[in-house]
Amino acid sequence: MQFDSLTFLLFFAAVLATYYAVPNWGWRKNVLLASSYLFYMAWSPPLVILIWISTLADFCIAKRMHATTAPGRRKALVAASLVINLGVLSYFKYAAFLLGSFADLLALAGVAYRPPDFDIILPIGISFYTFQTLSYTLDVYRRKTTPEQSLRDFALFVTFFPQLVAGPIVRATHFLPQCAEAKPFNSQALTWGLALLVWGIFQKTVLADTIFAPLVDAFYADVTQTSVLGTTQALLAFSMQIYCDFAGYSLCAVGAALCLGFSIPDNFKAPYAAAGFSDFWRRWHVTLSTWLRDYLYVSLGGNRRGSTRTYVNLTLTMLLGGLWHGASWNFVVWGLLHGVLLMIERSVRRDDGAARLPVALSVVLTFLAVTLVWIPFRSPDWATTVAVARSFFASPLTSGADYSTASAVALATAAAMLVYHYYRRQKSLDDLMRSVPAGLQAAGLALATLSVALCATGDTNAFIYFQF
Amino acid sequence: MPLSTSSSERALPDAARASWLLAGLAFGVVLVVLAEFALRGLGGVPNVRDSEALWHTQRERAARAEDRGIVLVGASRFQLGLDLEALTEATQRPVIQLAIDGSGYLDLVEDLSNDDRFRGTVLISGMPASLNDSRPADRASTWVASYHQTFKGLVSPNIEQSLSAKLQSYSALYANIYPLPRVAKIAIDGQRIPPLYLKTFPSRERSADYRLVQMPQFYIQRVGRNLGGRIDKMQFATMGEFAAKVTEVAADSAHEVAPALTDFQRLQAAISRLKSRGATVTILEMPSSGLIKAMEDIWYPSAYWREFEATLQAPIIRATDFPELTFELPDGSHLDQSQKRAFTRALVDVLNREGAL
Repeated sequence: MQFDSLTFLLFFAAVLATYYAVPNWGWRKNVLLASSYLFYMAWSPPLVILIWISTLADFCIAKRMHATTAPGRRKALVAASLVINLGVLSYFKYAAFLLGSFADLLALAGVAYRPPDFDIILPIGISFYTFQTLSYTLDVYRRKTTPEQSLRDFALFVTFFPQLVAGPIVRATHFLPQCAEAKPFNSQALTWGLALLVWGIFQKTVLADTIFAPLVDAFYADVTQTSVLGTTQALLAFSMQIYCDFAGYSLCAVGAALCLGFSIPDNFKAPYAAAGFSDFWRRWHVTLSTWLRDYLYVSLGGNRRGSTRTYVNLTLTMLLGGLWHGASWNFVVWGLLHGVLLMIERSVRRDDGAARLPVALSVVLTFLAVTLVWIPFRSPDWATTVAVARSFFASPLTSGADYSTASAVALATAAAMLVYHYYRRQKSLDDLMRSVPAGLQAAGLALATLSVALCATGDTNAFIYFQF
Repeated sequence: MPLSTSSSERALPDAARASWLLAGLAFGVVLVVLAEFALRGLGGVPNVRDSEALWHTQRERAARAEDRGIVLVGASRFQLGLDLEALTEATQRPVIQLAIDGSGYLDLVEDLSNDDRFRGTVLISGMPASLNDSRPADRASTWVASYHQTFKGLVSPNIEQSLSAKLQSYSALYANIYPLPRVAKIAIDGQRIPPLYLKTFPSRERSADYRLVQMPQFYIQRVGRNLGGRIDKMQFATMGEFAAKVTEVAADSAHEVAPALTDFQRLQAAISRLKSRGATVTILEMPSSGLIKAMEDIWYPSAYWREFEATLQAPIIRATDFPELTFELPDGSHLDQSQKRAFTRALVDVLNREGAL
């Protein structure tokens, strides 16, 4: 169920009421765990078995790993965790894609091969929770943490419903200590959590779905009938749509967790005010980018083996990061492009590590480049990617552009959001909360609530990152 | 700004700020309630959105009904013309409305025939041009495909859509069928929202109140649409002249409209699959009147229907053959809300006599 749904509203109200009605901390965690399983099973009951497999496997593997000092055995155990988690992920997410690509490759060589039909439903959240449990076993392997002794607490770490389906990807070192301490009812946490929930739903329902999505969908319905201006409008709108959609979800997750007394990390830190691509990845989907950095890039050698190897490691990490988003060459290309941008940035950086450009110019150029690179990410197939990219060079300048009021509102909102991002460059969400006058915040919250009600249609568009 | 992703302690608002935030949330809810009343004051009424997701919930019901269900497949005539409550009362069976306004429906029939779970009764609103093989894919194809990809067997989307439809039937605001800029303009001009003649229910049944439309303009537009736009740009001095032109154009286009009887192989196969599982299939020609009936009599004469029935090996019940099913329709094509209960009851009697239920 989605955060902006009636089902979640009823579910969350029931969970909050039950959670705080139970006085014992252990029983409260049981309520949370049961609610989390219910939350997941509300999608498709049988698929909860996969979470159980992942949970039990990694719980046992981590304990055994910690109990042994033999390096070979430890390696074998962590390999087992990798095989189980990535195996399940690969089967559900990539099997059809790999077979299809193999068939295409054979076709190029003149060999006709028809792969079997793979009618597999992608278990929701699998990309997120497998990475989450893998981070745990890898941290235990690297002796950065000790294994959790309570299966219940570990299961709650894996399945905590606010972040189960689309992140943030939480580290065990962040979450498990919070399970150890009882959380009394805190009205300020509940209030701020509800406020964040409303703001997150506002970003998704009002900004992403109502203001930006129509412009983007209209453009992608027929990309041949466009102009340079039209393409620019649509790409800007998609930049904002995907940010509002995903950041909105993450904000909802943070807010829902806070209502229950748990703190989970911010996933977005004004990414469109990034000065450079490294900075962008320190601000966009932060929990994924740090996961890739800590468990993939560093494992490959990071920047410790010379420039060439660093570039390879960067590109490979971003390429696999792209593939994580979806079983499609479009996502691979998107990741690859980001890898290339990071390489270019690294090569032009000064010896003292600073950028050569003024910050404001760097922010603008970064935003424009990131927006262009969204092309393969949004396009449903490679042909559309090429068509959109071509439209910058082969189309008329302005005919076919959208001059409607809706388009003007979208672009004005996009401009306002860029200003907001620049204002928030060095401010966290909590800083922002403290700096805005309370009355203004309250008025904003009231208007956000009203806006959500005015834009809610009962036809909820799925969060974009649900498909990953 | 801290760049770490970890923050086991979040900054929380102090008590005073938290009170403000709570007040803001509460005031937001008050604003929503006021907006609902304001919209109703302008003439807005609750109405359910007949969406793809709502159709999915009914499609899921059809599968779960197994051999008990009566599934209605067709387009707007079926959606507007059948009183589901009356049909359920008379048959004591679950009735599922799968008709899709403005769409062909061969893909629906095929989908049901490929669903081993379904073994009940299928009533198909039988406009041949909506059921032939060479008809291009349309909304039904899309909705059927998305049902299998995104909805089938899933729990929360089903619950959500059912809740959503229920809330839409109570709240004028939630369905969002009144575009905000237009409502704002109406409010500023001191006018009222024009009433909608079509009302949709959570069951996907629809009712049409033709007292709320402008006649004969609405009727003329309906006739024009049924002629596929062939007379749209023409001007007529009298209704007699209009009627004569309609008949002439209908006769000229007869060869384009009625599909060849060899063009129903997919439908034949689907009916055969359904029957092999114990399901029953009956095709109904819904009533029409005035110029709409005149056109349809030209395009599909009685001989065509007889051959159509023989081709499909499924019984066809034509409203025109039963006086109790013959009604004078406001737009020539659809039953008014005041007529459909009587029509539905009469239809059940006919279906029972013909052994279709």
